[in-house]
Amino acid sequence: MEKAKDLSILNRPICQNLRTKALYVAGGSLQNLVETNPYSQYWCNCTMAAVGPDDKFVSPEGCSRSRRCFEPIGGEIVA
Amino acid sequence: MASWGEAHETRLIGKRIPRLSGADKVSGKAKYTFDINRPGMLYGRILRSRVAHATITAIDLSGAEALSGVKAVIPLIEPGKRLRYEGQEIAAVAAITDDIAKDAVRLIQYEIEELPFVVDVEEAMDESAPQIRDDWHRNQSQPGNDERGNLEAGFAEAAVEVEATYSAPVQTHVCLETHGHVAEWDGDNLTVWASTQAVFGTRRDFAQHFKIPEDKVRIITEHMGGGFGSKFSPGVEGRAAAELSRKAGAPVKLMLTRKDEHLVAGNRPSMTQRVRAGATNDGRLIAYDLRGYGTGGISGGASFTGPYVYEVPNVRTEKFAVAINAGSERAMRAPGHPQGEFAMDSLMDELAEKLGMDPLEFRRINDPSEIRQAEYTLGAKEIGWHRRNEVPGGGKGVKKRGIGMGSGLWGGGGHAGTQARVTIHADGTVEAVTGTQDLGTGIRTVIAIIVAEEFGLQPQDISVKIGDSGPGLPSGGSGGSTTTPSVAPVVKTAATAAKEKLFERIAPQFETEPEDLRAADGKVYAASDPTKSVSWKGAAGHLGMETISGNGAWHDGLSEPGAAGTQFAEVEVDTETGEVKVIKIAAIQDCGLVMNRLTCESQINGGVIMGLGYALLENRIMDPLTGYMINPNLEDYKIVGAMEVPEIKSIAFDTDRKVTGVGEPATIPTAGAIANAVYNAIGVRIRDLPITADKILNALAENAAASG
Repeated sequence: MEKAKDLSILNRPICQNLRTKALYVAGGSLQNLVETNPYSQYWCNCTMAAVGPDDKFVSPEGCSRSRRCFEPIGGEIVA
Repeated sequence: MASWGEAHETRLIGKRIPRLSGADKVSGKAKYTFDINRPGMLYGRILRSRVAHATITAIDLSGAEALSGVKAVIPLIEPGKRLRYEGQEIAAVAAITDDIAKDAVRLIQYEIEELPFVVDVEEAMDESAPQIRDDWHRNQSQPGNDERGNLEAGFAEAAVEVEATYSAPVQTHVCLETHGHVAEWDGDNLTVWASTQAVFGTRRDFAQHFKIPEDKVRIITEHMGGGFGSKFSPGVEGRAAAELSRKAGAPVKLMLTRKDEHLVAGNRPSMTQRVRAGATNDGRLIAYDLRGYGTGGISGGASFTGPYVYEVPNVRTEKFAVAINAGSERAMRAPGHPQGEFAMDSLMDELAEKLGMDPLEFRRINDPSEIRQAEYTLGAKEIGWHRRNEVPGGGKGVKKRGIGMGSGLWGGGGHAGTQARVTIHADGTVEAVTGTQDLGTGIRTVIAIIVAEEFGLQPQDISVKIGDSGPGLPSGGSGGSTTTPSVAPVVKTAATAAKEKLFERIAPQFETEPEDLRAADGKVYAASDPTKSVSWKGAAGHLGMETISGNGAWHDGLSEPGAAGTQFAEVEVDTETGEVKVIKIAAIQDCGLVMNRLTCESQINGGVIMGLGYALLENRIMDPLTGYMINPNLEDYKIVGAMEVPEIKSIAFDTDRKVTGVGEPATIPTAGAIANAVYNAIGVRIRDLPITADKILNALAENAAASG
């Protein structure tokens, strides 16, 4: 069996357009967008393809604020 | 506490119930997305790349736009961006006929600057290979590493070792209904008939993509012709259908062609692994060292299991994905498992032979699963394990028979997230509504069975409404073998809630308490005095002008994960032609609680058939000179047909009274079992799938030459 991954959830912004199969299945959570699952393909809901609108590949590690197409999940929490 | 009851208490659950949709499907009455035709509907087609790697520099849609009958043309890539594989989408058209749409696609002009490409996995890892992904080094993903125990000490303890390379090619998705959608806008409201395995996920995707509220999107999937993991997202084709429809102001149907399916609709990644493993004299697997890779085209996700099923204390593994210029992988029935199983079970047989041990006995020693231990006994008896050749290849004659085995495991199990409503109308009719979809596993019938069991009715008395987001009762996508274990508990609690409301309503008529009432055999009666009864219809009639509904709730105790399985294969190999004929597969599959034995066995049969294709037939072949897939059809890309289907003995191994899910696990052990049976037949091992006639003949010839 694969070694269990130590995933921390929502410790950084996640793009709302990042997709992987686990999100669609019951029990699938945002945890699946935190670290690349080596068994899973990732795609972008803007393009519906493996690259985002900026023609760069999408992945949990690769989809960050530094990309102009990045749209964070949820609203900003304000004080 | 809710429970499914004991086996002797159930009238329908676990029995063999024909699919409610069976007659509609075989008569053509069932409407798949492919069959949907809307008034004024247009036909969509996609222009695809004919090169494996290029930068697109210009697109001119005007020729297509000028063609009579064309209603919309849209680009699907912008100049300056890259085409990374044959078949990638460039533009799409919608026209009043499919022929006009095809003509229009040919009128789209575009210019490209071709780039070097690579479609061979080994070449892709070479330093000089064209780089496909900026985020990977030498076309390789970051490796996933695992290390536990003490590998060196393990090998020092080993009495025998095997070092071998096992490989399997890319297997493309071959859903009989191709991917596709019919999209129709009404103002800001979008309705999509989708061949999807995730009705509510698809609704969310369309809503988010078009930046419209989710409640303005309706997804309908009354029937669908297979998904196997490839139909979660709308895909570029779904996006194109909806964009064309909005632009044209008319419904658009866009279904992929069979060639499109092979090129862009997903695949099971390839696998190559170099493994060294050792076992002790008393048959304990003691050390395992693996380095392996696979390709999922331009995407990642090409990992695979290994070690698998059997316990090894000292392990080191390194696995990574390799990018090539080919279409992306998508999840495919038990992702990563069939690849890993083929290699692991081949390895187990090779180690057992070196130990001089029966392969079954070797597995018994190393398999920690009590369930599989019991399954081994059943399977060995069913296949006649004692008949196998004591000396592999020792049979007489040109056609040699052999017997082999393989094993698998899968997660499955249910999760919260489904909502369901069961309604009893005053005329006695019953509706069960939820947002799941039937991708072919028979969940529609399972829902009817659960409700009918609760109400003392027959499954055909229940009107099951699924595959539609309209009622707003969400359910998860059908993936990971989670559909039945996720949906069944919620439907059960909904039915129970509705029944309890009905009993509260009519108990005064019986002059008893609601708890005293029972529903069975189409009647409601008092347990304390069974002579007091009323027909189901009569009981519901007391509702007058009202209806009763029960809403379901997730209940942890009704499902559980974990599905262990094993398969035994008998094959016959023609040593003159190299043809492998599978004679029989005995598949013993842990299912948890079986809801419908007929459809459960159907799923096991289907898994075996798909696994047989993986073992003997399926192989995506890429041309290194052009970058094209050279067999993107069903003539040259072989799948199992009626002639190849052997006797399949599917044994649903009921281990407890909780629902697990069986969609995926039954396809896992087949390839390993067949590969081991082939070895037992001819005494020469094929370590590269598919096991085709040319490989058999070459291996036999090499073996004959080596032995002088």
